[in-house]
Amino acid sequence: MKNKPYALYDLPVIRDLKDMIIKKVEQNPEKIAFSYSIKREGLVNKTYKNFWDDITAFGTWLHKNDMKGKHIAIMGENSYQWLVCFFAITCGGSVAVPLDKELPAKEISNLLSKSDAEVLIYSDSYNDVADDAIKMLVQEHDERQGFMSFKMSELEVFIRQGMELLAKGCNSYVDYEIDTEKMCCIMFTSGTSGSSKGVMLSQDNIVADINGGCRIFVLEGSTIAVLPFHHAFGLVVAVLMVIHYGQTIYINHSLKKLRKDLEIAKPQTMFLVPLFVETLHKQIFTTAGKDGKDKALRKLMKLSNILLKVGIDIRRTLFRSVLQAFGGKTEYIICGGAPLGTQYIKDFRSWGVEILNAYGTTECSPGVAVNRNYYHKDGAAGISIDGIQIKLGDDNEVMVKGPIVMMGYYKDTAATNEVLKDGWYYTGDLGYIDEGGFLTLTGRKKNLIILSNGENVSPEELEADFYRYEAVKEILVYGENQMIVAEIYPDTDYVTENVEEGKLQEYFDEICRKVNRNRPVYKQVGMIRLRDDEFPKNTSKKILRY
Amino acid sequence: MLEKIIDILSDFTMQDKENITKESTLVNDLGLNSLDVINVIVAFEEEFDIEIPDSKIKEMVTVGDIEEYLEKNV
Repeated sequence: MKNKPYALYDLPVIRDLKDMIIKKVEQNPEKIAFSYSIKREGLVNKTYKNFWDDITAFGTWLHKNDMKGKHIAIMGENSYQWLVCFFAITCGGSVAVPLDKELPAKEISNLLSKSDAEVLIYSDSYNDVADDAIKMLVQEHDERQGFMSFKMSELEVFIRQGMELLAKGCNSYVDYEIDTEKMCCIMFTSGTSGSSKGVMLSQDNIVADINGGCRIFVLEGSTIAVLPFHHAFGLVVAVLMVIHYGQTIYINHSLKKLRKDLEIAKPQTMFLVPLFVETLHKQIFTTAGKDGKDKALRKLMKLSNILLKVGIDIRRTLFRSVLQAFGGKTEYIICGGAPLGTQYIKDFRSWGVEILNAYGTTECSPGVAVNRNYYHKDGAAGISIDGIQIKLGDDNEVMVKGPIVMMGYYKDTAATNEVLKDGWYYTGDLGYIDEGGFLTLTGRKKNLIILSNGENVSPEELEADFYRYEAVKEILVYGENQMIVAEIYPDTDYVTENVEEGKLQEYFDEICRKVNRNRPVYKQVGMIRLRDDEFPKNTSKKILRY
Repeated sequence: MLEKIIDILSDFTMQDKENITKESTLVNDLGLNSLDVINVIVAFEEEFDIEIPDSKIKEMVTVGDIEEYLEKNV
């Protein structure tokens, strides 16, 4: 099919998440919804019917135990149980609060407090963090003495109890009609205690994104869920949309198992952030290089591209061993969360894998634009999903209006009013829209550092940690070549007295190590750059950001 | 132990063994990204026949941290 505009895909419109699952169960109850591997047990398959049965059973248990309407936080690695919790909570009148498992206990405690969570469901692997976080929460907030928590491993028991309740005719959960305008989920934008904001999403928001997004892109095979579920992209796009397509999702529990999981899952489509694409690309060339075949690979890619121009497509045969790195059947990669260099798109295309860039933000539930299967443009973020409006404001800031736009930030009217005006969400991203309808992004209005793994890192948070050291007079943290750089103007008096001559860089590298300790890898400062003079400042003496 | 760790890191990063010390940081000095760190942890798991929990990975900032963990757990 030629690369040109074509009719939108036609999928049944869903009212809410419950409606979505029920439709799938009615259509094909025995279709496998999820697969995953467990140590000792091997491969586990869950059909759409199994999934809905587990949701209703656990939801019934939640209702019976007075958790209807409560804010329930979920923390843990990607798992089937995580998804059962999310659906059971959001389809029964409670509010799900997905949390980043990589955050330290202090931040988890802050987010539990900030989101008014009354319950925490956590995976057993994060027992210590959960315990510490709850202790801190109760110590700091006396009224939180009744805070409840349980492990995901207990879910099996609750599901069994829920099934017994259902058998006895306890139907409050099953009969519950979802108020689609009500908040059903609070998702945090970036995991920093100072600046993280809780995005309030309703079922209307999420479902509008699913309905609108699935009309632009079509999924015709199985996928693998690699991105963390606490991210809107990893959850709404990589899981919920796939459910709407009625396809099978292989759940990757740990990135350490990714290679093995890809061999088993053999995904037709993968949803990734640029960091994965870049790393897979690097691995392919490193492996080829070790065998002395990297130049041959490049030559073969050139040859294949020439053949492709004359209509001969033998990429699947030529690059079988390359494609094997992703399981052998991958046709599409939907890439979002951060910009991806066009060279990667071209190289993957040479191998027979089309990378379709997508653009979104948690505040827009999250998908805003995506390239289409047969209508795409390298370097563009895609075309608008169905049912929303995109326009450009001052400085070409991208603005979005429509049912996907969040209800606001939880308990933060000031922050909400800053970004939501007359129904338009001001994304803070800069870009333009061409005559073909493609949105292309050119930069970021806000200060956040967007790394290629899609993570947002708040420079202010890191700067605050460095300022605890007397030797740091001024500091500016920014992203550079996918690395976090901390540029420091040392306190001359302090270092003259306390640091051995010629050891200045070493001294600050040591501070950097201390700051980095216990931070998720993506939040670690990769380079310290020392400067001899003060930073340029604005009239109110604030350091000017680049 | 340290020697083996350095061997693996050197092979993975293509850096000379002499440049990798106990104090080298994975991100700062060896230039690894977060996915590289996970992949290198997998290499240690295979070499030392051990399972390192995901929750421990963020504690491994330097080569020394890896050595300390492996010495305690292998």
